[in-house]
Amino acid sequence: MRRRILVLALLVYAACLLQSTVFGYIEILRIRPNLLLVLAVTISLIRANMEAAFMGLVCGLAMDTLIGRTLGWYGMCLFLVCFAIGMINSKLYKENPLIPIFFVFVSSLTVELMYYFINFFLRGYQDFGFVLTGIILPESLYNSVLTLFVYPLVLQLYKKLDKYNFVHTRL
Amino acid sequence: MLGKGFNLLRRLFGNKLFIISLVLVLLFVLAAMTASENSKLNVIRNVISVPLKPLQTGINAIGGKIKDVVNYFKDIRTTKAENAELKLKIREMERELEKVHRLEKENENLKKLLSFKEQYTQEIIACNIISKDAGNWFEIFTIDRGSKDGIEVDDPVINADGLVGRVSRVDLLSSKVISIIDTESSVSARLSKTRDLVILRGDAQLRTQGLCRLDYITPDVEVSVGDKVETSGLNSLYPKGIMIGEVIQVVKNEGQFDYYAIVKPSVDFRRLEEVAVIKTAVEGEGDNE
Repeated sequence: MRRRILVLALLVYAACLLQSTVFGYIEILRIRPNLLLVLAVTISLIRANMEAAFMGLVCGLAMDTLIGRTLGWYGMCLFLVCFAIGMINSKLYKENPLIPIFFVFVSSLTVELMYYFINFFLRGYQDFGFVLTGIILPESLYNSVLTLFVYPLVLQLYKKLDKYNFVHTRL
Repeated sequence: MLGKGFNLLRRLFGNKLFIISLVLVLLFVLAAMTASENSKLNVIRNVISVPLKPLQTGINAIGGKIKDVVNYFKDIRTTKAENAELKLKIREMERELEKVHRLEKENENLKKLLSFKEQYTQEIIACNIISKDAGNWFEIFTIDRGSKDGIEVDDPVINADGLVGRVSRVDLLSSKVISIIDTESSVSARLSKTRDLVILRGDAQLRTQGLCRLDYITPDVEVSVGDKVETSGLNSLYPKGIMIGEVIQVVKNEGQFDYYAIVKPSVDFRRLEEVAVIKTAVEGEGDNE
C-alpha cells in the first residue's frame, strides 16, 4: 500500500512538472493541454469510484497550486467528474480505444466549463462565446489527443502495481 | 456508549454520499480561506511548489540552451546588418550620455539646494521565470525567488522594457506573478503626453494576443493612436512613471458615453524570460529598524 501511494504521488509530481515546463513548448495557438485532467480521467476509467474520486481530487488540487489562484476549484470539479466516471466504468467496453478519448473529451468540456462558471462568476460571462470556441473546445480536443499517449502508460503502470498488491484493475 | 458512537462513525464513513459531501464542504472551506492572497493557508502550496522548483529550473535551463542553439544559426545571418546599425546607434547614444551626465550633476546640485529627500528606497531582485501559466485561463507565471529571498505579495514586477505585473502569491522558494494583461489585473495609469488618468485592464480576448485595454475613458480625455501610457503612482502598488505601453487602437461606440482604447504593452509577454521585483520601503520606516 505504501509503495503504491509513493508511486502515485511520484506520478502526480511528474505530471505537474511536465504541465508547468515542457508543455509550454508544445502550445498550439497559445493553448496547452491539461495533463493532470487527462491523468485523473484515465485513472478513473480503470479504478473503482472512491479511489477514482480521490485521485481526481489530488490531481485537481495539484492543478490549482500550479495555476496559483484559489485552491479547491479544479479539485472540486475533478473530484465530482472522476467519481461519476468511476461509478459507470465497469459497464464500459474498454478495449475500444475511442472510449477513453471520448471520456476525456467530455470531461474536459465539463470540468473547464464548471471552472469558468465558478471563477468568472463576478465578471458576468460576457465573453462566453470566445471562451467556448477559443479556449475550452481547443483544449478539450488537445486533451483527447494526449489521451492516446497517457492512457496506455497509466494502464501499464496500474498493471505493474497490481502485481505487487493483489488488487485487480478493472479491465 | 462509546461503542455505539464508534459504530455510528464507521457507518457514516462507509457511506459514499457522506464522504463526498464532507469532501465538498472541506473544499469550499479551503477555497474560501485561500481566496485571499495573504492567507496563511497558502503555505499548503509549498507541498507542490518546493519539490518542483529545482526540477523546473533545470528543465528551463535546458530549454533555454536548446533555444540558444537554434537561434544561433538564425542570428548569424542578421548579425552583420545589425552590427552596423548598432555602431551608429552607439555613437549617437554616447553623445546623449554626455548630456545626461551633465544634467545629472545639475540635478544633484539643485536637489541639494532644495534639501529634497527621496521618498522611497528601492531594491531590485532579479528573477528568472521558471514556468508560464500552467492552465489556459490566466496570465500568471512562476519566478524562481520566494519568501526566502524577501519577496512579498503585491511587490511590483518590471523588466527592462516596462511594467510586467505584481507578485500575487509567495511560496518558500518561488512565487507567482500576475501580469498586467490578466483579466484580474487593473493598473492606475497616466497618458504620458496629456497627463490624463486612465485605468488599464486585462481583457479575456485581448490577452491571448498579449494586449490589454484602457477602460472607461471619458469624452473629455483625448486618446490617440501612438500615445504612451505609464504608471500613475496613485495607488501605492506601482511606483510612478514606469513605462506600460502604447495605444494602438481607439474604439468609440455609437451611443456610449465613455470609450476604450487597446494598448500594446512594451513588454513582450511571450518572450519574457527575466524579470526584476522591486522592493520598496518608505525611508523613514527603514531607519527605525
